[in-house]
Amino acid sequence: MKLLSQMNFFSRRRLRNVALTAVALTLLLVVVFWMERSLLHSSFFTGYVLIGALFLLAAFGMRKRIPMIAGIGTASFWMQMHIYVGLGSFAVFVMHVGFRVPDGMLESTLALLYFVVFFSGLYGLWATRTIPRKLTSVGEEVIFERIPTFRRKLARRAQTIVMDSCESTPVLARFYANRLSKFFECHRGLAYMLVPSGRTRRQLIAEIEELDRFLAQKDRRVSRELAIMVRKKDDLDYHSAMQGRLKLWLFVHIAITWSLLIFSVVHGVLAHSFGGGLV
Amino acid sequence: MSLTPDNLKMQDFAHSSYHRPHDPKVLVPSGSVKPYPVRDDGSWDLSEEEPMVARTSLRRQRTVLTLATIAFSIGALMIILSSPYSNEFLAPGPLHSSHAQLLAGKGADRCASCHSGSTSSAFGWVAHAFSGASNKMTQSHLCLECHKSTLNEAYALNPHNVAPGELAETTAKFQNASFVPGVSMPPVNGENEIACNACHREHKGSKDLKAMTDTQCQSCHQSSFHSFEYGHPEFTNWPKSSKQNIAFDHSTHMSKHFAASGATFDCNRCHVDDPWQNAKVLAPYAQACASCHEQKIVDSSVDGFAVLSLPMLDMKAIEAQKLKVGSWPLAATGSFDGPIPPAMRILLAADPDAGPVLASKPASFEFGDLDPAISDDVQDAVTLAWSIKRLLHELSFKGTPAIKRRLQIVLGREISDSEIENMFSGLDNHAFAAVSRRWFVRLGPEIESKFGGLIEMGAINGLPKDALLAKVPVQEELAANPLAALLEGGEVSDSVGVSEPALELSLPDDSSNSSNRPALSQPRTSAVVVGEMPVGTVNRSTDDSRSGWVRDDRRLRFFYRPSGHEDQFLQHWISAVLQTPDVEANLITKNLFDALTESTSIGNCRYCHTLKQHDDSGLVMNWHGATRDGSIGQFTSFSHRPHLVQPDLQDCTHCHQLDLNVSNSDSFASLDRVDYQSNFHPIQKSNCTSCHQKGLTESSCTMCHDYHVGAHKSQ
Repeated sequence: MKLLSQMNFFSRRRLRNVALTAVALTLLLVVVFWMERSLLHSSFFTGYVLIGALFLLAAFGMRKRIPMIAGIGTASFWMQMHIYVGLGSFAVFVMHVGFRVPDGMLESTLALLYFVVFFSGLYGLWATRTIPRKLTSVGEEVIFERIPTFRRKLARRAQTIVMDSCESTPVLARFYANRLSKFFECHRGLAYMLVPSGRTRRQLIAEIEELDRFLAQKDRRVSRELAIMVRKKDDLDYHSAMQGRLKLWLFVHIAITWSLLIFSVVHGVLAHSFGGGLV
Repeated sequence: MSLTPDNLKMQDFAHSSYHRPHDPKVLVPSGSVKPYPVRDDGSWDLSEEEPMVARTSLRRQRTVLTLATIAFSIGALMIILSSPYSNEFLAPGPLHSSHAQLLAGKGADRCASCHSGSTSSAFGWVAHAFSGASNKMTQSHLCLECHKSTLNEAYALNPHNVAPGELAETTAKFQNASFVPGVSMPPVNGENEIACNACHREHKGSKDLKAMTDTQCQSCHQSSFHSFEYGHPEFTNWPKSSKQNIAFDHSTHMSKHFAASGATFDCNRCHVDDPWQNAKVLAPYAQACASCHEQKIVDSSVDGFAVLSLPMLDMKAIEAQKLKVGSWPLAATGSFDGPIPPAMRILLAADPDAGPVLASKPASFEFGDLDPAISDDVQDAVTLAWSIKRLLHELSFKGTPAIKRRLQIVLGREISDSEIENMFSGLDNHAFAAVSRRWFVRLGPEIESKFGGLIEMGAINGLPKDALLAKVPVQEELAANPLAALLEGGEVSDSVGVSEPALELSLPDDSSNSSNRPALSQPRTSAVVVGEMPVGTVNRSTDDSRSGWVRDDRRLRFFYRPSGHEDQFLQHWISAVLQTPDVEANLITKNLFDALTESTSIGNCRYCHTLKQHDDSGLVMNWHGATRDGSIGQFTSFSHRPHLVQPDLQDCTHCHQLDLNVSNSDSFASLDRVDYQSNFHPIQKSNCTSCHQKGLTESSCTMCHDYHVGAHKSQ
């Protein structure tokens, strides 16, 4: 086991945050256990903790628009808080529902919304920790919004050099028309966006190399340029798929978060209104 | 010229406009892909800008989706909550079947049956949620709307449904016994009430609503131990920690009485199953006790319970003191002798003349204690004699109201008409008048002369001596036939009965059947002791015609002879005495108390039935064996039924082991219910834990202990 002094900043931060989360959850569990054995309703207590956690988590996305909290902490602090409060909220959720599967319609809807938000967040955490590393391995950083323009430029260049080669040989033009035009000018299919692979890229480059038998030395240089463009286009597509993932999970995570907050508030009001006992 | 870019951003693109993620629109190329145009020098013009179109940015798309989701959520909630299915949507889970069935037909308002905050509008929910309380009933009181019939309504919300003070006493008692070493405060409000839903959590479907975990029990009972098997206290004094209502010494009965008679000491003879086979209850007296005890009860009742009894007066001593006692039956003359029955002592104690005399005498005073040579004693005898005559005179005219008046004076409490009616139930209205006529010749004029001043004493002085010392008619018969007196229970001549003046009796039964039963104005010709005359209704609960109210003209006593066990007369008299405050503080009332409650007294009631000091109603005689009626203290439930299925357990002694060395007969006389030693060894916990242990069968707290003590326990 690494000594604390041997750990880097991120490891120490992770260790600290995990420990803080564990301590907080342990304290919460002790309070819940004490309340249950004291015939108190811990669900109100855990409910308040949970809805407070939800609003705190939601504030992560809203912090720049809320003047009161805009100046509190760095973005990193908010990110870390969002991650560990989000992870800890699952334990609070389990305590709140009493370690059972909710069977009321409103409660089931709430649970479903929570699961969507939680697991989309979990996916986002995994994606933001793994995808950038994969993209870095591609070798170049590309802004997502610029990808369509890059893609178009690349297609035009490919088309241009192919047109230029027509003076010496029709082979490349025919090949471009049959095999590369769709690759350069169209979007990759849904299957690629879901599971990006280099199979098409490898196949096209292999076919380009096969053309060398029919090309003069000058034209072979063009074919190599085409092969490079294929690789670049595939890298762009990979960026598009990967960065798309980094952006699209937020569609689910943020939109459903609002739905979850609305249903949670209604649930809280109903719990107080219909809850009873001696009041 | 190479057209292959060095990197994806392509150097020539560096001067293009910057796309910001927060911009609502992003520009993307439009139209079809075309090659770059050729310049005049034959090179490609890579700087040509393509036509661009603005497209909504992902950021804006996400915002739109978020707003749409918010709108959809709010809209969906509004639609659902205003629909007829809102109850189904809001219910946090299915109801327990017992409640679901009850509420099935209540439609949209069914939530309001249990939830005071249930309103028809969302605004109502918000108002109720944040107002803190509702003008409506609380949820727990709504529970009681249906459940009050099975709970002690006054304390339905108090812990264990018991008055707080009573529970505190019980807690203290059991804390001493180390069963409840520590009790913490449960989540109660200022009125020491705990909500129903602290334990009963609804909307969990088929989950047992009454289920309680050991941990929940220990929220208050903080004596922590691992399980029933490990750590639960031994039953040091269970199942009997206090004396039984019926004084039954098991050891003595088994080793002495049953052994002597050769009878088998069978538990099931006296302890029989209740209708649910849950508990063993005492068998009826006729089955369990009568064979041995009935004759003793009858024998103890032969002399009856006298209300009037004429003592023997020493007329010579009275005359020697120049005192006058007026007429007095000849049969009651001689030496001073004869007891004053406790009941008559009470009645005389209310007399202004006899009261001080009796108060000056010891509790055991009898006329035989008077010395004819002492003038004060003779004077006391005369005073008492006149008081007795005045008592009889008053009774003959006023009947039981006169008794009620005198009893109220002496007992110092109000006596109801029903109470006095019960104490003299079955007594003929004219019985006292008949006594007066039979025992005294001119009682009325004498009393009026002596106390009323209507007749001069000279009128009495002028009476012939034989008129003053009259013979009671039956004694004339006895004089003619002395052997008849020896034939107790034998026949007497009809002339005895014929000589009795006809009395008008009012029987409570249908008079149309009067011809089918012996007229009470006529003597019972069988089993009637010579000189005794029944003077009341026949006790129809028994064939014993000797029981009931009797006027004994031979012994000059007027008494009630109980019919045997369960005679209501004794129950009413004992009840009347026990209800009297400080009954033992007064010698007069103590005399009656002792006469009725000593183990050897008439009826032998106290021989078996113990007395109990009740906090509210004072002394109470336990007429019945203890039953599990759900009263305070009965927090433990046990059903024999599932246990007796086991062959080994069908032998009662498997659990209930008699300790023949302990005889507790004497302890039943004490009013202290704790001052008691059981005949039985405590039941060993190991008897239970052989089965009730984890892995074998249920061993939780609620297996044996109940939270609610109240009326429902008797179910």
